[in-house]
Amino acid sequence: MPALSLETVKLTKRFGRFTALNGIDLKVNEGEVFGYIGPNGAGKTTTIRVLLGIIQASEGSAQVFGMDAWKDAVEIHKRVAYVPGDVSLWPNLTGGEVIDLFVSLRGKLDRTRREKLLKMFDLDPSKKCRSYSKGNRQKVALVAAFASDADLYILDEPTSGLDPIMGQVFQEYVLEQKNNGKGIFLSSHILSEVERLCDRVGIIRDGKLVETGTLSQLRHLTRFSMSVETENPIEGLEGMRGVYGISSERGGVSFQVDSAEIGSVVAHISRFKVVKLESMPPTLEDLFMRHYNVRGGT
Amino acid sequence: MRGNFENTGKLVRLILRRERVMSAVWLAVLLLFMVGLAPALGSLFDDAARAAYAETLKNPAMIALMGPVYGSDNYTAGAMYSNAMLLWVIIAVAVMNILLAIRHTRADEERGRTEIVRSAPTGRLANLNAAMITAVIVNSALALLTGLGIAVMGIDSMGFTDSMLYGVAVGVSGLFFAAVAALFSQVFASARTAVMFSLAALGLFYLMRAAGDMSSEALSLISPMGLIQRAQIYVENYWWPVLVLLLETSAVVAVAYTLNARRDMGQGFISAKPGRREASSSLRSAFGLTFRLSQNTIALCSLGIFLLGASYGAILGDIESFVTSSDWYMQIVGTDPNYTTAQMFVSMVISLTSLMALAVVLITILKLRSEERDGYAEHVLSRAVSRRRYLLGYVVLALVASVLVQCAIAVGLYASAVAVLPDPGTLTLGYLMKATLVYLPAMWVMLGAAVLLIGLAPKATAAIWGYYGFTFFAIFIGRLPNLLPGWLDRITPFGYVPQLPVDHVNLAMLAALTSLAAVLVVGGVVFYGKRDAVT
Repeated sequence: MPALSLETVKLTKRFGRFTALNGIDLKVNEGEVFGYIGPNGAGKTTTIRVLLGIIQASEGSAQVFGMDAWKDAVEIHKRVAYVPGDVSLWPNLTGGEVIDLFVSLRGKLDRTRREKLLKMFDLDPSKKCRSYSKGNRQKVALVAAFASDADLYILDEPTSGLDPIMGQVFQEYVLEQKNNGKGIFLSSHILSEVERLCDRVGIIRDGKLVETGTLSQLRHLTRFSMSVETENPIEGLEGMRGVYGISSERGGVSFQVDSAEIGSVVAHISRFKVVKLESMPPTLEDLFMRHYNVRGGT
Repeated sequence: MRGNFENTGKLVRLILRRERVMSAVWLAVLLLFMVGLAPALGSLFDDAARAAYAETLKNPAMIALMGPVYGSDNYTAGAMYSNAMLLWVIIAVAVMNILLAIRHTRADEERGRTEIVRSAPTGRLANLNAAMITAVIVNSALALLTGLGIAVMGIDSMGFTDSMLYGVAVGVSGLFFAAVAALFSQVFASARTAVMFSLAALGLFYLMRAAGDMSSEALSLISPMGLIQRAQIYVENYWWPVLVLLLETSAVVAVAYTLNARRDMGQGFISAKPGRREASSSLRSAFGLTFRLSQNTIALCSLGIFLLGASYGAILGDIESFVTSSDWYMQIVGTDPNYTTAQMFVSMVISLTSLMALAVVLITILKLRSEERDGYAEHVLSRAVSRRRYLLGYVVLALVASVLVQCAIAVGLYASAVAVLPDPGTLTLGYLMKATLVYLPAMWVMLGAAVLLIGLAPKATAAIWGYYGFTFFAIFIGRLPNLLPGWLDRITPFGYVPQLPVDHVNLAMLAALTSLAAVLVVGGVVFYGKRDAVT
C-alpha cells in the first residue's frame, strides 16, 4: 500500500454565504498522478489554496504528508512544488532571478538541473518578467517547480499557455517525477494530457466532487454511441431503460446507451436482423462534457 | 511615403475618448492650483511685505531653487506670482504631458494595442501624429483656461494679455515635454524606460536652470524652463521665449516622426540590455525579495525628503525677514521669546517633513497588500515561508525606512544650514538628529496601526490613509492658534511628540508610544497568521 501524499476529508470552504467547496474527499498516493478536473469556477483553485494552507478550511480536514495543511504549512511547503494557473510575476525581476528565488525559498538550488530545464523549456532567463508572454511566465513557474526537489507537485492548469511541444516536455517531467515515486495533483482542461498522465481522476462541479476513479471506471459510467442498420425496422427501443437520443437515419437508427444496459439493448435489436452495428465507447470529451454541462447526465 | 498619416483623425478621437477622465482631472487640478492661488498670493502680502519677501529670494540658494527675481524694485503681486509659481507649474504640466504622450505611443505599442491599429488602414505615423495632436489640444485648452481664469480674477498687476502669455507659456512648456517623451518613446522599446528618461530630462533641465541662474545666462537659456522664465511674465512680458520654445518643440517632434517612420514596430533604437540570468545571493530569501521590491522607492523617497529638508534649510539665511514678512507665516512658525526664529522654523519644518516621511513608512508596509492583490504573495507563501515571518519582513523594512527618512531630514537641514549660515549655532547635526528621531515612536504607532489593519481588515487597509490625512490636518492646521479644538491632536500619536527645542524629550512618553506600537504590530502579526490570504 503506497503512502498517502495528500488527503482531504469532508473538506468544506465557505466565503461568507457562498459555499465554494462542499464536503470534498480526496486521496492522492505517492507515485500517482491525480487529475482534478471540472468547469471554471467549480472550486479547483480553492481546493489547491486550502491544500497549500493559503486559505483555511471552514470544515473538514486537509492533510498533506499526514500534516495539517494550515498549521504545518511551512513544513509541508518544504516538500511541495506548486505551479499556479495564472502566473503573475514581478515585472522588474528577470525570469532567472525569480527561478532562483523560488527554489531558494524551499531549499537548495541544483544548478545543473536548472540549466537543463531552462534548455528543455527553451526559456531565456535574462529577460525581465514584464516582457514574458503567458506561456513564458508559466515556464518560469514550471522550471522553478521541477528544479526543486519536491515530494508532491501541485499543478493548477500548468500548461494552458504552452505550445504542444512544450506540453510534451512538461508531460515527460511529470512522468519522470511519478516514476520517482512523487505524488502529482494536476488540475487540467487539456484532455490528451489528462488521458496520458492521470492514473485517477476526480471531477468537481459546483464545489462537490461528482465522480472519482480511474478513467476506465469513469468511462463505465457513461454512454456508448451506437448506430444500427437492420433488415426489419426496429421497434420498442423508445421504451427501453438507458436508451437516449434516438434518431432515425437512412435505413437505420442511432442512439446512445448507458454502459450498464448494453447487453439488453443488443439482445433486443438482434431480433430485427442486424446488417451493420457500430458501437463507439465514450470519448474523454463526452465524459468531460457530460460532467461540465450543468444539465448533463440524467 | 504616401498615406503615412492616414486615419489620424479617427485616432485623435479615440485618444480623446480614452483621455476623457485622466486629462480632465489633470486640467482641473492644475487650474484649481494656478487660478485659485492667484488671488490668495495677491491678498496675503501688502506692498512692503512683498518687497521684503523679494529680498529674501535674492540669495543664491533661493535663486537656484526658484529662479531669478524679476521686477524686484516694484515687486507686484503678478511678479511674485510668476516667480513663485511658474517653475513648479511647468514641472507638474511636464509630468502630465510625459505620461500622456507615452501612454498613447510606447505603452500602447508594448501592450499590443498599436498592432491592431496598425493592421487597420492607418498610416505608419498616424498613431504618433494623433498623440501629438491630442497633446496640442490638451495644452491649448490648458493655456486658454489658465489665461482666462487668471485674467477673470481681476488682480491689478495681472492683466488680460499678460495672463494669456502666462497660460501660453505653461501650455507650450507642456507641449515641449510631450515632444521629448514622444522622442524617447521612439528610442526605447519599453514605456517605463521612456518615462524614466523623460523625467530625467525634466530633472536635468531644472538643474541646468539652477546652475545657469546662479552663474551662466546661456546655460539657463538652453534649458526650456530657464528660457520660459526669461519671458518675465507680469514684469516685461516678452513673447519671444515662447516662440523660441515652440520652434524647439517642432524640431523635437520632427526628429521623433523621422525615427518612428524608420523603425520596426515594437522595436527601439536602444534595446533593453539583458538582465541577470541568476539571482544574487541577497535576493534568495523572502526578506531579500521584500527589500529588493522596495529598495528603489525607499531610496528615492529618502533622497526626496533630504532635498525637501535641504530646500527648507536654504531659507535659513534670511529666515527673520522671510517669516516676519507675513502674519500667516508667523502664526505657522510660532514665536517663543526664549528661542530664535530659526529654531522655531526648524522645529516647524521637522514636524511637517516628518509627516511626509511617515508616508514613506506606510507605503513600505502597505506594499505587502499590493503584493497580495497582484497574486505575488501566493508564490512566497506557497513555499517554505511562514505568514508571520513574511509580514515581519515588511515590518522590519518599514522600521529601517523610518530611521532612514528621519535621518535624511536632519542631514538635509544640516547641509544647507552649514551652507547659508555663517554660524549654525545651536543647529548642530546632533541636535537636528535628536529633534527628528523623537518622531520615530509616533511613526511606529502609525505603522503598528497599519499592520493591525493588514492582519484584521485586509480589505480596509486604505483606511490608514484616512488616519494619516487626519493626522496631517490636525498637526499642520493645528499650528494656527485657536482654529481647531485642542483635543484634536490628542487622538493622533503625532500630538504626543515633543517639539524640540520648546519641549523637553519625555522618555516616558516615547517609551509608552513605542510599547503601543509593539502591541499593535504583535496583534497584527498574530491576526495575519490566522487569516486567509486575500486578494
